Amino acid sequence: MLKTKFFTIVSFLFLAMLLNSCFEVIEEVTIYADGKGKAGLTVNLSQAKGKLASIMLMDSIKGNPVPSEAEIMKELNNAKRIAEATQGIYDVELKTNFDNFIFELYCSFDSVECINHFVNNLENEYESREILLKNLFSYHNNKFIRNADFLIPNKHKKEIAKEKSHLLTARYISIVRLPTEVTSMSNEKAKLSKNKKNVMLKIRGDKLLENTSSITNIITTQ
Amino acid sequence: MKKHAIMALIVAFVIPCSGQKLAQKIPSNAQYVFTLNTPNMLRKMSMVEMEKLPIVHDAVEAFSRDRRGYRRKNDPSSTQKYLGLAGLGFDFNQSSYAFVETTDSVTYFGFIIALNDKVAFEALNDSSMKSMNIGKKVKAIGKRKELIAWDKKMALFIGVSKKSSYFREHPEIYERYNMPADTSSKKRYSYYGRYDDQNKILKIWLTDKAKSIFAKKSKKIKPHKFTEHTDNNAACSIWSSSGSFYSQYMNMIGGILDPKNGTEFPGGDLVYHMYINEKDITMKSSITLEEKDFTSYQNIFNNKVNPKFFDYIDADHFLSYYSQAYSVQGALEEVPHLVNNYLGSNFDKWGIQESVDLLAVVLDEEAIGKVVVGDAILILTDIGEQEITYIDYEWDEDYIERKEIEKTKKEVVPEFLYMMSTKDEASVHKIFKLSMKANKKRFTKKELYNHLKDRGVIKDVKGKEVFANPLGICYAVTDDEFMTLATDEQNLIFNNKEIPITNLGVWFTAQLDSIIPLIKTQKPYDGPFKQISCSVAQEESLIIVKFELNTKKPSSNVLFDMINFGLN
Repeated sequence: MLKTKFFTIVSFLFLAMLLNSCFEVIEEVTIYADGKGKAGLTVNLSQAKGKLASIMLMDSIKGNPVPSEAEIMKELNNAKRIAEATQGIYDVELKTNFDNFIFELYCSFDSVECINHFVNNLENEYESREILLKNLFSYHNNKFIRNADFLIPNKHKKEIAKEKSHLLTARYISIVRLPTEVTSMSNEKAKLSKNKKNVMLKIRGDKLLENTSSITNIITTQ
Repeated sequence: MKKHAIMALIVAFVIPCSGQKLAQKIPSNAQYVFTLNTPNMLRKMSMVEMEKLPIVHDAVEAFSRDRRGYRRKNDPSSTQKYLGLAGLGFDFNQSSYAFVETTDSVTYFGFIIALNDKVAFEALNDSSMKSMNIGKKVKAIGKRKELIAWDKKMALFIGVSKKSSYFREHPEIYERYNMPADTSSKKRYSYYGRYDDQNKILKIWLTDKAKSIFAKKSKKIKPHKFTEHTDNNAACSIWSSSGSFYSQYMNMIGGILDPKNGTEFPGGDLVYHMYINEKDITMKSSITLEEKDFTSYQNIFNNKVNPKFFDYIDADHFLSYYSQAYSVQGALEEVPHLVNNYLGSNFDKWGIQESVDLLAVVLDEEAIGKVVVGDAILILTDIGEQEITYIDYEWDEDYIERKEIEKTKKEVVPEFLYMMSTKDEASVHKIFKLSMKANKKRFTKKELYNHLKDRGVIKDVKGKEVFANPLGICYAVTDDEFMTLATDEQNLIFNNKEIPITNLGVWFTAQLDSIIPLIKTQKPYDGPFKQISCSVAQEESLIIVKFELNTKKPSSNVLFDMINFGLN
């Protein structure tokens, strides 16, 4: 039951893929000098909004259940509640836009590791290992680590692999803003900002699925 | 052997006869009969033209080479030459037949074709195999489960496949053929170990079957039922008893539909005919209705497409259209009866009776039939590109500020018009209001009129109130007992005024030159066909499903076109 609920969110992303639509997932992490910071996750499905609006009128498409607006809202609010209940996470803000199908979740944290706890809590709540996200972030001794080889669990990889061609236009964007200048980055796809403190990583959906590109990045700063 | 049969099938199928004589040879109990009217087909296309078809040429050549290849081994002086269709010894001036006959123990697959040159035909046979006599002037060669038998006038290709369960359940069969179980070998004693014996039995049965087919005299035995449904104008036909057709397939599905569970299927004959005319190829299939179901179907099909629909269509071309005309009220009332007839005793067993009763109580057929009468028309006017906007993000050079930008992209969207009849405008209104939670636009009648008229879509909008939902679908509820639904980007044109307003259940047609480029990556379509149509209708005691392929211009060899079309 809970798994199904959780799948509401996953399935919505999955539907966007099935529909051969472009979508973007944007992850932004800002860390201040004291280790505190802000994080945000944006899921932008606006390029598929026409198709999504059409399928939202249906119960299922290609055998996949279509969640209703209310179901999506319920699960997003639940995620928000879990974030709020996580120690070290506060100022949680949820923004939803069903006209353009853009969903955003923002929060502040005491340390970047608190996000890992939030994700763990999310997993525990749903008693599921649908998404394997362990020790996603760490920041110690001027070393920032974003550790995730794969966002998509093996269970769904096969299904999604079939739709690989549809992921050509999907994008994953990660932005990390650090308090001091960056001296090295492990991910060669990562780009450094003009002020040398911030790092952007853009990866195409199909590369992520093939594992030819990774989100993982170890950034060391001065 | 297999090559033989495949070749003969290809040849006979590609070349279409009268040959009623051969028809008498079909086993009386065959459940499926395929007729290949070769004389009819030859009238549309000469044998020379036919040989030009790559598929035929290659098959004949491969077949000839195979035979000659063998002969060359034994006789190096023999030269390889292309025999051609005429050189195979088959008489294409008579129809050929294929049949399937299933008994409790085996299934026979047979193909009967007339011969005009026995010597030529015999030359095709594998010379390493010795022929045997199985009747008066009837020769045969064969392997375990296949047999070719021929006399001066006809050739029979026949195969057999066993039902394993029969041999498992009837061990006494071996005794009948004096095959006592060998107790000294455990393996042979088991069912699985008796393959050899089974094959021997099959061979006996196969030979007997072939003998009986050659011995069958038309005067003595009542002809097979399919002869009541032959049509000399058809290029080829398939007959089956619908009961056996359904039971065979439903058997596979099992469960409630399994005939073993008491489910009955509509009896009567299931007939398919394919006609090749100058300007079209038509496939027509019909199911004969049983008397007890006749009235039910009549009530379901008791409707016609509302002619008022055509007042709203003012144009010269469209990509495809679909219309339906059946009575929703009739269907709601009659379907439970039909289901009852077919499901029989399963009704009680599966608790369906209760469900049907409950449904009958809950549903007000008349009221529903008023809201949705059952006739409708859907016209695909275009598959056009539409510009859509979406949100994208950009960051400054320090990746600090995120800016939202509105971008545009082009998306392919179908444009269509849908109309259906209703006698209960108020309810339709309610239904659509329910679906209009996210109502973005609400047009007045005048606004919609101008909106659609500007695009040359619609002659007149008689609607009282018109709505548009976020997907850009407009709908209007009209005064005239029916409602129109339309996308707001339409360019509706008709060039075919002959939309049947009869009681056709379903009618679909599409313009190939408009549709194919859209489906097949924008490549222009230059095939010989103009239009494809499909319809379902009730005529007297028959339900007829018709499929039609129209050519652009009259053609002497539509069949040639069709095969090439199919190959491409």
